[in-house]
Amino acid sequence: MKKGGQPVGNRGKVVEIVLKKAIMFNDCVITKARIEIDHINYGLDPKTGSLNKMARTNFSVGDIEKFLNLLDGEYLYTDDHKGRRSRFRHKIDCPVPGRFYQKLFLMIFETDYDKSDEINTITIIPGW
Amino acid sequence: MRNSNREIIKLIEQTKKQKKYLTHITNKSRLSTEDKVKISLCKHLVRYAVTRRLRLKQLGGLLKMPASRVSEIANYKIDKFTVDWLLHTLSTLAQHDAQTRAYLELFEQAAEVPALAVTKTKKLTKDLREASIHM
Repeated sequence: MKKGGQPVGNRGKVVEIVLKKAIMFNDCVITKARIEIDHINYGLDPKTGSLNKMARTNFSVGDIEKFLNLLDGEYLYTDDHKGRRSRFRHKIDCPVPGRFYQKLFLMIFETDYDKSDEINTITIIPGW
Repeated sequence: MRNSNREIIKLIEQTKKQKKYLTHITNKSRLSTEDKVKISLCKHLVRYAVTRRLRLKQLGGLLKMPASRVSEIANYKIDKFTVDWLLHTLSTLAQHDAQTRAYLELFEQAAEVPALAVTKTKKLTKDLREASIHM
């Protein structure tokens, strides 16, 4: 356990996928994604630090891939670098048809200098 | 899992607070031509900062403008500038970057091309797009 924090690795299911269509992001060809799907759908309780009991969204891994496809051809700036990782925080319009279509979400993800073909989606939170 | 849950919660709180300053990623097909051009011009400034891992202050030093203004470019706040202002800024960057200089030359040449027949223009656009993908 980390000091003053929750155990690392308590955010539910993490799925690693190969993207159906590779995306070009910040001059890197991204072919793989690591998606914290339970974290995205349930969120973390700020008081307990663990996953909420009630789901806030019901995105599938395929839906998250649609969010990632919106990054294709983008150049995004961040000054949040930690070691060899860069962390990005952005607003994004939901591309998934249904109740959240075109609603604003906040997406947080990381890229790793040593794994330039991979993107790590930390979370996607409602931003309205 | 490289971040603890506490770190993530803190990060989410910060992100919510800074929401209005963040880049908004949206479907580009609905934007006007002017907005698309502005985004494309901003991209070159962002590319330069990203590839050289520059801080906004450092980029501001090169462009001779405050970091807050550079932050608006880096976050694609396109309502805050005009196309000619962005072109002027890119010209300043071109003094330090050969890639930007070459891009501006291409931009000039493209603007100079006379209005061609629709089919010819579409073919040229398609060829240009394919060439940029395969680079």
